[in-house]
Amino acid sequence: MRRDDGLSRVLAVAALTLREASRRKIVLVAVLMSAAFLALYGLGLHYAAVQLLTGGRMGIDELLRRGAAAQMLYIGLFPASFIIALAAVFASVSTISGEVESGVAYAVLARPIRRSEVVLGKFLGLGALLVSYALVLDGAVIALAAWQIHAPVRLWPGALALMTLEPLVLLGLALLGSTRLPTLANGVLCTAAYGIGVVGGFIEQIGGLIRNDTMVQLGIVTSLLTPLDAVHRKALSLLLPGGLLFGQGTAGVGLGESATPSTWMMLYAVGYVAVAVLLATRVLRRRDL
Amino acid sequence: MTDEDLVIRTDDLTKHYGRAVGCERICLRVKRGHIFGFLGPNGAGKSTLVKMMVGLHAPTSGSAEMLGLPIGDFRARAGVGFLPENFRYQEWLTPMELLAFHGRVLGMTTADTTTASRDVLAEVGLADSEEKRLRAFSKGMQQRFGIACALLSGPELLFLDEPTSALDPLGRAEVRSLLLALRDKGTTVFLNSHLLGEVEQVCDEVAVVDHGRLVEAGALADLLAGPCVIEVDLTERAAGEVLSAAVRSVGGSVLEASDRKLVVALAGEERIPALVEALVTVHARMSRVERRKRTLESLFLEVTAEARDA
Repeated sequence: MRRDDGLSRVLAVAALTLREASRRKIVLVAVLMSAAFLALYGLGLHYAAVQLLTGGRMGIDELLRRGAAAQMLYIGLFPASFIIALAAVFASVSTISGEVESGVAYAVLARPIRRSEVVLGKFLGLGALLVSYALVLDGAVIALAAWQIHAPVRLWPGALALMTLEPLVLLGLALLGSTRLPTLANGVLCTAAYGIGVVGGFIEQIGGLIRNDTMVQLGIVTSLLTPLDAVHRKALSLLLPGGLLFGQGTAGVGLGESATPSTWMMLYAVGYVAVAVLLATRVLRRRDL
Repeated sequence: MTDEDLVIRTDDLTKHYGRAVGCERICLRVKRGHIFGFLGPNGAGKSTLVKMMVGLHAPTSGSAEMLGLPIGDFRARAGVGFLPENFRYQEWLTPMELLAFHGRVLGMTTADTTTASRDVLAEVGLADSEEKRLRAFSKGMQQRFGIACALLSGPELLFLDEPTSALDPLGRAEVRSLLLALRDKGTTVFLNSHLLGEVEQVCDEVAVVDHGRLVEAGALADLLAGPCVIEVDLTERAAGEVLSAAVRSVGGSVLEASDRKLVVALAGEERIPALVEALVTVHARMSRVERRKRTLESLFLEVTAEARDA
């Protein structure tokens, strides 16, 4: 008996994508290296806790302690974001181009399956993997900081949700690039896009600090091209009370409410991912393989 | 021939890559339950046509139908199996796992997929390897697996692009037997191959392409039959004029004549007894009279050379 079920085909591709990540040891290596990272971070927090939790006095010292704890949390979240971003790029740059280059795609795409279903399945599979990874790694960093040094976290579910959006932005971009570009070229594109996003965030935050509107506008335009840093800053603004943190972007500088991206920018980031996936299906549909 | 008898119908199907021609106005009719050989030199456009049929390339112009549906409709591929020329599979899976994936894409139930997977793996001689990872397979085993994968859903139409390129002679013989068995079950096979001897052994119909254009097509038996040319070996020298007169008396013409050999063109095979009788009448002593047969290779060389000259 046969069913003509597009959702079933999408889920079949998603499941195959997840299985590939598992079989190719991507998951195993990510788990081991993340465990090493968290162990090191936890060790650092443990020794910091001795000073932060037992050496304090009342008044200004409490404010300093909260600021230092927030800074320690930020120090954990910045590399975690970097690791997740690189994982997103490495896991997805070859997802379609690699299969076309090797010929693996031929036997699949000659089946009664729409190319849009393959793109969507890849997005769901890799998206589920990356969202899970971001939840576990970022969540573990936040939990460790809250437990060890009583970092002043607030609105952490919303912050975590936004942190899962960061790898999805890169995934959408990588998926789109993968439908047209060779794997290596796509890898360069996505890594450069990440770098541009970070530098754009840096310029916007410095612009906000020195009240330079041109720099702020430049940063906003960069965020429109790659809204990664904007999402990261918004997540940090939800997570940590205002005024505590010296640097609230992946660029590591910047501060204040003026540097906090708007909710509209977050909606833009969601739309950015959706448009990237739609464009990927369109490009792949028109491509001769 | 009704439309129900056709599984493939192409009308002026054309594919250009910029200024380069992949296929040019290809018109084909492939009948249900036949093995159809699609031949041509390297770069002639064979794989381009197959890729258009299975949806990997979009035609530049023209139209085509497969199993009654236009080739642009992805549902047309539901009854189709395909072995690509450059076959590669997800090497990190076992055959059963990969076939399970294809079964899901085809909309088969898990139970049906499991049963069909075991059957097709047994059919291609891989029953003992169903739990090995594909990366452990030799190239020949991967090609066998590719055929199994193409057969999974019991397709009505099977596209095989160079299906025996990685197989040893025993494997090739097995695949030939498999193709004949599939034809007996009613499956239509569209076979792209350079191996003319194999095509000659299994195909009912053939088409030859060169530089993207169709240069010959028809039933293999008709194409190989060609004109009726008779070779006569003589045991003794005979007078050329006398022999020529005898040949002309039965409506034939002498193509070649030497001391011990005569090559004659006749209107048809039914004239052979009359020719022999006429030659006996003029006291020609013969050791062999045989109709000259064309091979697929000679036909192929002939039609591609003609196409190039044209």
